[in-house]
Amino acid sequence: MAKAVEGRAVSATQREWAAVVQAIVAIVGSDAVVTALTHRLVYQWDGNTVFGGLPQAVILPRDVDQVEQVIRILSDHRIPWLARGSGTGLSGGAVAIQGGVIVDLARLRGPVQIDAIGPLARVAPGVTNLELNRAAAARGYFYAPDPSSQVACTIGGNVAENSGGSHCLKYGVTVNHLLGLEVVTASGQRLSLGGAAPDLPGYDLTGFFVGSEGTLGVVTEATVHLVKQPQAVRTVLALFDGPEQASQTVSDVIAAGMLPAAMEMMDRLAMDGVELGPYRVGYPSQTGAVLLIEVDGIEAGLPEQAEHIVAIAQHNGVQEVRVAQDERERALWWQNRKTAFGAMGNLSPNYYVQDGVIPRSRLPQVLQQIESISHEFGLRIANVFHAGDGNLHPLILFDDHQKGQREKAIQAGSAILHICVEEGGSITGEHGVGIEKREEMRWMYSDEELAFQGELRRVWDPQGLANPGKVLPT
Amino acid sequence: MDAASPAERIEPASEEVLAQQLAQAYHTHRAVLPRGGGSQWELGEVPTRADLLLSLGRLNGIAEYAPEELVVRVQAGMALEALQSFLQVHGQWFPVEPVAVPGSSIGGLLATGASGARRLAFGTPRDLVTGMRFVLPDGRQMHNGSRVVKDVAGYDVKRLLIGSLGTLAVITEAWLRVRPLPARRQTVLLSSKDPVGPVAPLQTVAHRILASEFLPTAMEELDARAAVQVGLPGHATLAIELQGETAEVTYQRDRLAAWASKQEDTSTPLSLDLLEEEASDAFWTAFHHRLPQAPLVVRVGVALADFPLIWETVIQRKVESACVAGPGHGVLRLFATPSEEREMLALWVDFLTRLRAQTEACGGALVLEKAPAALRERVSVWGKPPASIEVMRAIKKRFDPLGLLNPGRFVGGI
Ligand SMILES: Cc1cc2nc3c(=O)[nH]c(=O)nc-3n(C[C@H](O)[C@H](O)[C@@H](O)COP(=O)(O)OP(=O)(O)OC[C@H]3O[C@@H](n4cnc5c(N)ncnc54)[C@H](O)[C@@H]3O)c2cc1C
Ligand SMILES: Cc1cc2nc3c(=O)[nH]c(=O)nc-3n(C[C@H](O)[C@H](O)[C@H](O)COP(=O)(O)OP(=O)(O)OC[C@H]3O[C@@H](n4cnc5c(N)ncnc54)[C@H](O)[C@@H]3O)c2cc1C
Repeated sequence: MAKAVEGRAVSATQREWAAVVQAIVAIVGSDAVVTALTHRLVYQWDGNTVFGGLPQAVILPRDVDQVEQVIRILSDHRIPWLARGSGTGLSGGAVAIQGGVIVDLARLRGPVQIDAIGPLARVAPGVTNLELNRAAAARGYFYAPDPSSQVACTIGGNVAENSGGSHCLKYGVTVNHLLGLEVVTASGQRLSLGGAAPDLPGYDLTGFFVGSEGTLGVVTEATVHLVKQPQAVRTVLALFDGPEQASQTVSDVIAAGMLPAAMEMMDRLAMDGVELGPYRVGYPSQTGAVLLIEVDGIEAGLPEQAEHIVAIAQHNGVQEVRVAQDERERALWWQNRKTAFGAMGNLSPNYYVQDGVIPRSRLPQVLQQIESISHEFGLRIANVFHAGDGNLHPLILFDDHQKGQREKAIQAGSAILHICVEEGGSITGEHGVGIEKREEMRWMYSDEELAFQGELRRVWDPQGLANPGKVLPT
Repeated sequence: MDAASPAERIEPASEEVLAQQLAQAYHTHRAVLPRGGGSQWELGEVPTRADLLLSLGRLNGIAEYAPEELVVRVQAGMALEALQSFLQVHGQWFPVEPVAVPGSSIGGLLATGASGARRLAFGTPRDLVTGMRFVLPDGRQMHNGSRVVKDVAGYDVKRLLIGSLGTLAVITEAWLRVRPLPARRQTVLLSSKDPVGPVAPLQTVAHRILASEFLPTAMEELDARAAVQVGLPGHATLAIELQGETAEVTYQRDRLAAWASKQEDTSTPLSLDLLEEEASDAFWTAFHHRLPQAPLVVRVGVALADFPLIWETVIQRKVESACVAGPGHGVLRLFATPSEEREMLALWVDFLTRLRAQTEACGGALVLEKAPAALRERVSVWGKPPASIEVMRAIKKRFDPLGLLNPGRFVGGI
């Protein structure tokens, strides 16, 4: 399973393939077509290092016209292809499991155009989330969805995955900030979906395109809504004996009628990992769970809210609770949290990031079940959550050199997802289905429902060429 | 109007029965019109065929409520006001207007994608639904999404249904996001002291509010006519709703008062009135309820950058009408009672045609939400179909291959 296989493009003979490559070179230039094996190997994996696949070629178009022409050629010759941003996706979405062509959008990255009236931004797909946020910050705004991978991940990837982040609890995910899209559909048609004007009549095609994981076409521009930077922010760090008290605190904060911008939790093992990284907070050894809560808005209202949160934490037996004294301290806490995935490398040769959602109030019970799974499979599991919206990220630690551990890690992940579904939640909150969770889709939807989703997909991609083998079970 | 009043009416008591009845209609090729409270029955073109009226009236209960999760699952026929009173007992609300038209249903709200002034803070129905159940015209029962707020498993079919005006499937149930009721509600009314005064100073204030730390939950401009209709003195007025904890509401209100009294940057003096709690709610209820009683309701939506241009045209209109506009979200509505006189009609046709051309030229849309038949004959309800109309048609075909659900009501004859 770990080994990537050299895929073959459906129905293209060697000679036809050579002609296709030649035609594409004529459009984008030879420096924008990668066929050498050593270079293609770079594209064998994405952020999910469990499922791999090798493309036959990688194309790096420079503008929308080139994207359109390339997709047309691929479509005419029935060659499977997929769009790729930075390859940070965690469900194997940007991997060519059936071979074919990868269209890498890294070069579509013109300047972010910001319109202060709106406020909104027009963004090319290859621009990173952080670059968009920097451009917005310079004008006093921010782009709310903030995946922890924001340094690297692209807006195209964010749209395709409907990415979330730590501040979704209050601000929502990508789809809530998207006004319109320019796309090239899988059949090679350029289309504008939605737009900056509100309430445009017609079906919400923008909403349908978001989260479609590159299976309907290529995003070539996104118009996004920006948010004013809040007047003030308060960040609270609370240390507990264990996740149970931390979870109760999360529930109590909501029950008290507050809607914090973020509520993030890490368990002991996750803390052990991040504390070995570059952003050490210095959690005491007896701390079993850490909770990071952020409230923002009008300055006048914040001291009271922060005090209320501190009181709730104290009521739940907090070991220690602090409000960030300055921006530097706040930034450290966030960096510590945002590097949690990668920090697992400090604890284990390999790790597998899962992504499931449960109703928030079921957190303590589900954590116990995850612990049983950890025992059952003999694998350590660290837990990082967007606790406010019940989005779990169990990090399953394994060693690829030990035979069978990778398979076990995959099975343990699947077992956790099963619990999520039984609790009325979802198999993915933000990382997508990709190749990883196709089979688990059956736990969420009946065959009839899946078949219908497939029919809607074919509206955009009648030949089934765009990112084939992803999202829906086969 | 006859086509919209089918001879036969069914009112199933369960989704199961609804599905069977839909399947029957499908196999006998009968056109079906789903109906909630009927408050937006006139929205869209008159259906080209109508054999069966499908009332959601008996699917009107709360299916499941999880206050600690801030979600509620409701049946589509439930009235919005019934939902709000239910939630209120638990200190929560569904963050659209607290009282809309009596009887208007959740299913209708989602099918029309309707939103009021509070979209400024809480978004539109598409932002408030986490899951949905629906029945396809051939009777297949389906769901999409779930009770949890984050769920990206598979295709977001429910989004296609929101705002589809009942042309794709019948919505039977929805998971909605709810919110804690705010501790305080206040509405600040800023009006131009000069009775016929220009609205420019109000716009200056509105833009300053949008550009600074303020977080209003609603902000609408009413022209003098609209102000009178909602029970205010006849001055152009900017209504700003503030919700939240006492400290934040008080802070914002005080800053607004300071602006108004010092008249910074504004040449025209502004007067300030304050509505608190119930009085504040009553104002917004009047705002959402009274104005749309007019027989002609026109909605214009444009990007905020294009708003001044459209505003200019609207201000110079010769046709008698009231106008409200949201400088923070770009939706403007005109309300009027046009007389049947030919000359009057001609004036309206001319004005709407011009305004629509201008709106569409900058990527917006003008929709006749309600209009007398004589006007509809000369001005289309939806205007120019969007560039993606062919994809929309293809989607309609997958849901409703025989074209039996609300045929002809929607954009581009869908
Ligand atoms: C704040 C606010 C204020 C409003 N004020 C007014 C007002 O004053 N006057 C006014 O007319 N409207 C007003 N509206 C709009 C109205 O409340 C909503 O559009 C709405 O709730 C309509 O519900 P209904 O049950 O009356 O829909 P109906 O009129 O019954 O149906 C509207 C359309 O939706 C379709 N439909 C209804 N139910 C379903 C379903 N379950 N599945 C599929 N399709 C369905 C119907 O076929 C029809 O095309 C307001 C909305 C808001 C948010
Ligand atoms: C350390 C780490 C932390 C992360 N944290 C988060 C988090 O907090 N929240 C979160 O939501 N995600 C998170 N992710 C997941 C990932 O970063 C997001 O899914 C991101 O949006 C992927 O962007 P990308 O540019 O890397 O896309 P890729 O990985 O290149 O592609 C992802 C999918 O999008 C498609 N795609 C890419 N570009 C386009 C385009 N222009 N048009 C159409 N389809 C396209 C691809 O075909 C593929 O299916 C994290 C990942 C890592 C490695």
